[in-house]
Amino acid sequence: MIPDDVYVHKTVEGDAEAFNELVNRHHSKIYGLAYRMLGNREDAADATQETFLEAYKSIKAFRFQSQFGTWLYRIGINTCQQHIRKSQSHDHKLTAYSREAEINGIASDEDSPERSTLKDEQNEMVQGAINWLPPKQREVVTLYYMQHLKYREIAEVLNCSEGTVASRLNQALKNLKRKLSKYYL
Amino acid sequence: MNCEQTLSNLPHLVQQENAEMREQISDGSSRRALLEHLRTCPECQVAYEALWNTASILESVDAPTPPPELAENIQQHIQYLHKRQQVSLFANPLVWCLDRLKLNFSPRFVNATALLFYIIASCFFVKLAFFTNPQEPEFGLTAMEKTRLQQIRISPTPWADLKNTKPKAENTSVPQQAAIAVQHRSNHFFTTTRNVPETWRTNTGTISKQTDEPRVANYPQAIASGKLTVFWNQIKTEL
Repeated sequence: MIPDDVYVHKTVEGDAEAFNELVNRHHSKIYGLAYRMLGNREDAADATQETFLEAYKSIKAFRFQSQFGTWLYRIGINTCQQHIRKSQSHDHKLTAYSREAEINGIASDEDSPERSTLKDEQNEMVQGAINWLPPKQREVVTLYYMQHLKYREIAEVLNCSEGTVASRLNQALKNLKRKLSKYYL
Repeated sequence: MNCEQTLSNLPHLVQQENAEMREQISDGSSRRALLEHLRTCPECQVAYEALWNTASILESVDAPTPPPELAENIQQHIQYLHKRQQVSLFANPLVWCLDRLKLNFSPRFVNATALLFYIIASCFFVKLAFFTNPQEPEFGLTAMEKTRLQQIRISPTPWADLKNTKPKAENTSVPQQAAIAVQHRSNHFFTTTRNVPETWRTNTGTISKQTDEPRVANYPQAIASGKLTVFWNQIKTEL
């Protein structure tokens, strides 16, 4: 398999097709990150698209000191943070009831057949609990548990120490335990 | 190790990476001491299980599937961005117009078209600025006065010569045609024929005897005849 760096070099030299290959490789991961961070599919798709466009615009700034995927995650996190800041006013409208309902999986903006399955209910429940977390803990939980990054990589993405990552993760886990405990007890 | 210390350190234990890689846990207590307390404390065991279950649920959550058209949409946007980056800055207005018209041309074509447009426009303005006849100052003259001024400039020589010529009483051989020409231009600066009696016009031989003003008759005959004839023809043409 050709490493990402080769495609990055080609893109820098002006080959847009090479970047398309990078999109094919990484768009699922970035979409997963955005979905967990933002909590709905439309915003996640928008954020994914913005992430790749931003990456393409600033690909000359990529120094090859980290992996391309890590660099892309960093852009994705920043994009999601911008989305969260934009939608903060919308979040204020979200009442405590609706938050709880999201966790229970009974309130949703979609009504697809797949929701009927147990797995989907569990996913919604987890997503509701993640949405309840503060953004910084949400980032760490998503990167660690959903994207399966190491502490070192998360620290690189978030530009903080590994100790900070561990601390945030512990706090997030405690918070999630409170929200999710009733589903497995 | 007491329950409070254990509970605060349980998340470290749950996270596999932390548990494997770090013997020393955050507040200085060792992993071994934590495990020993867990083995003997049922309350902490329950808390540990809850955390472990939470982590298990988080790890078991399926990754969301992106919409099938997402990658294609992104690639289309990238292509568009790529084209825009290839288009020069000066061609942006043209690109804007083409986008509005939903026309899709290659960046090279757009650049060349924009460049051609700018060259043509530049030539036009350069011609306008440097290669047009400058307007003469009018000095408050009317159009008719300016026309007359131009007429004088066309052939000023006969009048200037006539003005500078001293009168000679003996010279009586002025052609009648020249005298009539002078009479027609009497409203100019050189009023030769003003107050000239009627006989002067018909009988050129008596001109010098009846007026003291400079006369056509004093001008050398051949030169005056030729140049005034030319001037007469010009006047005739204008009239």
